[in-house]
Amino acid sequence: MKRLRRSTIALLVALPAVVVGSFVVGRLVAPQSEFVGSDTMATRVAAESDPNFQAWIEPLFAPGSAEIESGLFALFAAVGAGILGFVVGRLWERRHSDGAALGATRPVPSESEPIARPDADAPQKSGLAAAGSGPTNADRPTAVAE
Amino acid sequence: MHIAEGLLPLAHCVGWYAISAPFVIHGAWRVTKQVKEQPESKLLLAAAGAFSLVVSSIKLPSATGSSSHPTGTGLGAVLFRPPVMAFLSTIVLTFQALLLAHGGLTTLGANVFSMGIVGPWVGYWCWLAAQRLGWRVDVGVFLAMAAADLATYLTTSVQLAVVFPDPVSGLPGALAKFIGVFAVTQLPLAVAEGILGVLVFRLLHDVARPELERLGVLRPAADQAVVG
Repeated sequence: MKRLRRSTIALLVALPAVVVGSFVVGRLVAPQSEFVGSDTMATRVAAESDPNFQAWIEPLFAPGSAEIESGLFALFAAVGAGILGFVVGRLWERRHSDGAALGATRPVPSESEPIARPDADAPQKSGLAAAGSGPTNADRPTAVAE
Repeated sequence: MHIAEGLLPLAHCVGWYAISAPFVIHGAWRVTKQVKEQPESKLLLAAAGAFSLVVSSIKLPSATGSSSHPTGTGLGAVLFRPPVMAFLSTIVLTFQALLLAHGGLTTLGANVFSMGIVGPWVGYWCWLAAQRLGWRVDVGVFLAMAAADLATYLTTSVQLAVVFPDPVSGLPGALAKFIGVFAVTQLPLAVAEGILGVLVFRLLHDVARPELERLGVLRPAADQAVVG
């Protein structure tokens, strides 16, 4: 299994830390808070501005309860994650079958090795170990070497 | 943030539909053209749409004691440019309005404008600016994701403030109120979305580098000088 870059590991740690940290700070800022959605908050602010406000139409379908709503949201997220996983798997398969077809046996340089400006046969750094480069086509600014 | 069904007056709903429709039609045309010219990019298109679907379906707690969801449109804007996201966001928002009562069909035009048009364009401009300044790709992706997220919610704040002006301070007061509710709530989530975007982009860099090069997001490896 390819070794992850240290920065990737740091990001993987930072992501849940930001989410959990938000929750903790939210609890401290508003101990009685129920973490109501911002959609609901918007409706409350609207009602404060216009006490006579009433929605002129209802949704075609509304979940019967908060639990069903949460389940449906989770289902949507799962469907999206499933599609993402399928796509990543297909792309990975395509990438590796292309490499096998080309008979690629180039050594993969370690993360710390700089890669010289390559010719056609030069080793190519791949994957998360690679430093990204910027866009370059006719309409995009020149890439930045990292 | 999706504006709920019935929150906007009918005239506003019609107006936002009229404003958003050309962008969505153009986006659909760009998707069709993209698939015709580069059939291998279909998978990445699906990834861009799926990522937005996942991310906009997950409510996360915020430091203000409320919760909200990211938008996920910055990634697609970087990969395929903003017009495509107008179309993909419309699909995501339509499904959410129909099956989750999240957002609404009457407010679809307004929600598409904020999440599918303004957000991706702001994110894309941040990406371009980062590249022109010579910043790392990761930084560009982070800024694109976070800026798209924040721009979406700021736009929604404006859309609601116009409809619900403060009784005392009018539009500016209402805008301050809505921004105070949404933008502050969204700040940590925008950071989280930026981090997630960088991680996903690194994964795509790993598995789909040729596709990213063909899209012009990454420089072809033969021209690349990379310092590890």
